[in-house]
Amino acid sequence: MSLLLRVAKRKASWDDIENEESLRAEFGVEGGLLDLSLSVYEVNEKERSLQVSAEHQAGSGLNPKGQPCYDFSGAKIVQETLGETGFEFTQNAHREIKFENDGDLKAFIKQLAKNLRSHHFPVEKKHIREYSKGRIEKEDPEWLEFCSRQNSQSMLRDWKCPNGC
Amino acid sequence: MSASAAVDDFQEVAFPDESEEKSPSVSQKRATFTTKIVSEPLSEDDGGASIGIVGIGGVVASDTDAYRDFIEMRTLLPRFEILPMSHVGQLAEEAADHYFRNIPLKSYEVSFTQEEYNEMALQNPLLLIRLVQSDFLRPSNLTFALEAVGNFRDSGIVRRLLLPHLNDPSALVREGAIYGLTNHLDEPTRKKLVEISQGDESSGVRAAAEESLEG
Repeated sequence: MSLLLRVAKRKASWDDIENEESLRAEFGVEGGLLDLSLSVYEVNEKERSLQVSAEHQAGSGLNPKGQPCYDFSGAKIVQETLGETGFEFTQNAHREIKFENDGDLKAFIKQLAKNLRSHHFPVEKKHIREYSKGRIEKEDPEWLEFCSRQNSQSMLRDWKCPNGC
Repeated sequence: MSASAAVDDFQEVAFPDESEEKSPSVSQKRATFTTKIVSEPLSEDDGGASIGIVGIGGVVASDTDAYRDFIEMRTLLPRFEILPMSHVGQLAEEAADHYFRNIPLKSYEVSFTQEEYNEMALQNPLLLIRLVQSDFLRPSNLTFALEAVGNFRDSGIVRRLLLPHLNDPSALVREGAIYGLTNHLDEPTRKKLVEISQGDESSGVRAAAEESLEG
């Protein structure tokens, strides 16, 4: 059975995910609106959550941190769309969940929140670091290419990049 | 502008404090805000309004629904420009006089994405500093601005901006401040994060503090 992994933006928002501020932190877009087209990654095994979180953060040029994943499977409308991480696995695994309106999204989250623990896949920062450094040490061409990206610096300076960048 | 340049700017900028009168004069506004005057109509149904005043990354005065105006302003100004009042000319100063005299200054909600805040930290650090010191950002967005402050190189500035937010009532804000502080820990800050990791009411904030202490 496949999982639809959504990479969390904040840990604290999931303390009370139905709260308005939590919803805005996780799903807010420009103009104070909620995003009705959520990016997720379709994977077959929960062990992929580490790779998904690492590639998602690297692809977005974000400061690395332990961003857990939540399984959003069960959503009604899921569309295949090419991801923009720069890593083949997550680019191909990328999907968009479509919601008709805010109420539709909130109803889905409310349902999710009833059994949140079983949908939660924690990812720790030290594991992101180990995974990323491991890929670079093994000269994974995608991660070597990542080292040359302009927006990779925040992640690379967080640890001593084995590639010397 | 580099992040290091922002340090000098930051020290020179005078921010209004809470003891200042609630409706400061135009001259005070000029002293505390850098603004850009936009002469294009904000929208068709503005009832004749043709001037918007952009300060601290948002519209601080306009005729009608300021939030809608702000969205339109972002279209007009894809990248905010911050100019001193002295640079915008007589017409703009008259407009500013008119607006500040007739319309009470309010704070309006503004928001940017995580990626935009990170870029702002590098390209326009002064704007980022002003945003995190203003009350323009909701907790759900301030959290990302605070994290981006951590991209500054000057640890003293980072701690000065972020430490007060560790006591914020919003767990989202505390978490953002912790992420921003991660690469700027001195001993007192480390002790504060140990306290948070052991006693914060939010499990997410406790986890973020533990993670930050691990480096």
